Amino acid sequence: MSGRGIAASKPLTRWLLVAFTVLFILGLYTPFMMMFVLSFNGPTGGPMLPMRGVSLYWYEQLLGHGQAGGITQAEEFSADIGAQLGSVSGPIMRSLGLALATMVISTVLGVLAAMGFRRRFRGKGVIFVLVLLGAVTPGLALGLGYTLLAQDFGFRLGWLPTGLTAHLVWTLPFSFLIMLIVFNRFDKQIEEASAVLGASPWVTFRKVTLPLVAPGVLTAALFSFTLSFDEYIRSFFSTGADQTLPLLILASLTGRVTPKLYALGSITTLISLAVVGTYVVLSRMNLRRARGAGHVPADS
Amino acid sequence: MAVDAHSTPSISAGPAVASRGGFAWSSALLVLPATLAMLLFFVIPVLQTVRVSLWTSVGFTLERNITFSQYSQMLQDPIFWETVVNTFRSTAIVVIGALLIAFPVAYCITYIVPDRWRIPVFFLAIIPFWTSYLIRMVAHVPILGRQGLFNTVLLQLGIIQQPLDILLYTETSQLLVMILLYALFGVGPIVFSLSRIDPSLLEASATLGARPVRTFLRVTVPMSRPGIIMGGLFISILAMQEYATPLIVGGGQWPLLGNDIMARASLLQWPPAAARAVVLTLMALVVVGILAKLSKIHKEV
Repeated sequence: MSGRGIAASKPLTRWLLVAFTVLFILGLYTPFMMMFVLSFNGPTGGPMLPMRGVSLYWYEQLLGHGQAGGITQAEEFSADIGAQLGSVSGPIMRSLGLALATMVISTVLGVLAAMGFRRRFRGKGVIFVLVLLGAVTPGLALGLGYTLLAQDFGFRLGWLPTGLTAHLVWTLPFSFLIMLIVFNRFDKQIEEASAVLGASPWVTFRKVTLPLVAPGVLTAALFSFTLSFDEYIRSFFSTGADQTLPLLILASLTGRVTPKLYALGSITTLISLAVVGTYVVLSRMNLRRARGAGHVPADS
Repeated sequence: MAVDAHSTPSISAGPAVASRGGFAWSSALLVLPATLAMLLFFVIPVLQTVRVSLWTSVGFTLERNITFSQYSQMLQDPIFWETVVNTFRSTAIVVIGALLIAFPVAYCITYIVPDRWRIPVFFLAIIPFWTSYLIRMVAHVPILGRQGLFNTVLLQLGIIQQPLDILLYTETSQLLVMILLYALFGVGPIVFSLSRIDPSLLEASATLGARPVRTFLRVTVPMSRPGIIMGGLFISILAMQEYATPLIVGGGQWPLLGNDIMARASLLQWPPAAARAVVLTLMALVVVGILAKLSKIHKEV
């Protein structure tokens, strides 16, 4: 990038910036490393240093045991709470399922809405604000509303459908915004060329538009999935008795923290990384396909 | 298949309806699902919160008479005001701190990192965004504690004689951890903005005789404003609602409005909780309004 020679030309500045960035990245990953290491603590070890041996004890505690799968020692003394929290697999499955469902619906609705926004129509500004409000309004205000509605009108809160709708209105603004930006830079001429060549609108959409906005769609999907997967405040108020993974983590924070929580955290983080990895792989596959089809120069 | 010679020249990739300057049915249809979803699943719950904030409760039963007593009680409560001020203060410090960290990092990634490494390094800096915030927060405790990593290393190296207590369960630590957690939220938008700056503008500035610092201050920074504002917006909205970090890292001793709301909700004091949630929402809207004015973001639409 030719601006490089002008930006930060003095070697000292460059070195300072690089050092700062390295420090930043170290600071980002050290907590993960700590947590990962401590999760392998010995059975007598606690949530802090020093390590007392190395073992899979806490992972076994986390994953092995059905009913009494509470995270903190306090819960293991209280069978009721343990049974209420259930094993870990329930929350993990619910969070994954919720995130997948949210991802699909949010991405589809976001793409559709962004496409609708390509033209002017009355009320466009209002709808824009309405959707964006979903991202700006605190989860507490929205979540309280769910609990209060359920109380008032007597319906049941659960991860489906109320958890899903709560997550949806949180992730939809993001997928909408992402697709808006994508379509903003989109050159209509190629669609017009397709139509002139005789393709029906649906075919144009499928074979021309969609492949070109695919990276944006993938990004919107990624955002929707992870925002839902990690969401806890809205879940707290809208999933009723169905505990999601972040809620399990939240609940365990109020008890005595043991390395079991770190084991859970490590697993959660691995899942998140797997999701990002999938995104990267899919993006590259898409890029390769786009290069092959001639949409994108082969050397980009 | 012939193209209708009378239709407008540009054809959108939606259902084939030629727009002759009338109501754009195809657009309406496309935005309908999203709009319906927001109305049903967002507007209605939020309205319910507002509605309950106008009720009162006697003991644990709700009195459904519309009254502003909740608000008048709240506005006369000095603790409430203290909490509001603290929340604004906390948010401001976190946003400024986070952006101060994010900007140099973003700058480095955009301008100093070699082309080949730029995307991997960018991803490296961004990936923790996709992990659970709660986990990231909790994972700071074994680092900052008295027997934590930071203190242990500093003690071993002889840099300090006593463990630093300020790193955990203090208000400073609460703010610090929030800054660290939110800093990376700013990196993405700022890199995005910086990379859109036309390098020839920087060259022109140099050619006209400006020293690098001047170019930086007069060209680079102003032109990265959209990214800074976007990042700042995102961070401030999240930092304002904070509940878990003050609870864990601060030990609950410097509660923010989010803590107040959660505390009342867990005690089933719905009207006070709802009223405070409404206030929190208004605070968020105020901040958004200010930042939006600063950025003229509607240009993206």
